[in-house]
Amino acid sequence: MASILKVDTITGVATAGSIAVTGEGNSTTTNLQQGLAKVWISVTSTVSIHDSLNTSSGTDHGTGDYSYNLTNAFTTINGYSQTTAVFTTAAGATCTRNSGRDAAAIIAVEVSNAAGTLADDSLNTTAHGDLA
Amino acid sequence: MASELRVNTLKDASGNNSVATSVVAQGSAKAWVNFNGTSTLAIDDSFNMASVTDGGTGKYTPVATNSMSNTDYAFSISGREESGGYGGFFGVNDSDNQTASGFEIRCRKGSVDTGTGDDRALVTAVYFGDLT
Repeated sequence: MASILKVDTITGVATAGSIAVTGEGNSTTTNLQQGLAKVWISVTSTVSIHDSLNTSSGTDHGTGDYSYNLTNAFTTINGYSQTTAVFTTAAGATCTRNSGRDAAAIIAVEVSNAAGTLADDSLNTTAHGDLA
Repeated sequence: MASELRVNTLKDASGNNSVATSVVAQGSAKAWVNFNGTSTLAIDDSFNMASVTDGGTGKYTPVATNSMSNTDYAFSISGREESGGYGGFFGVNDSDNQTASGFEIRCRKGSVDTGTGDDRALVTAVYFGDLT
């Protein structure tokens, strides 16, 4: 029988921040909170945010050097996994996390071209981890 | 008291923002890891991750605790900039080496064509797909 649950907030019983979800193969359980993306950002090379989750603003620090302030921070600076993808017409561009600017409440990236030189390009980034 | 809720659809209390529970399961990351790949490899934070194997300079293989159902799952990788500079590149060993529990990440520094293996202070990986 089909069913619909209407709620605004879902909270675990034993632990508020932990809810088990059965996986697709019907045998393994995964964790709802741990599996959710906590941040995603789609931006242009001028740091303008197209769309985002849990992001309040962006800052352009110079060529290929951007950071984004989070509305809700992660627990620690190393407490989240951040991945990125760069929009580019040239082969070999890359985007890395910037250890000079990242923080629990700041997603920081550097974009560089195939020669390893900083370059302006649009990008997407996501982050999974533990919110504070 | 532990409890189990079986529903097909979730909505907010106003009846909006409908999402099937299957989408929640399918759209959630099934594993992620954040680790320091320099000197003695150390995991900073993770979800559903048993270990990360150090395969030599710039080569790492994350190993999920609960494996994916096959080798068709998607993943994304990234990390901090190359040692002693900025930029740097992330890739994976060819798909023949992807298993249900992981894949070999390869980090390079310098240019795409002439770069060399590079241990990174922070590497991340996120898995998406079906659990067993």
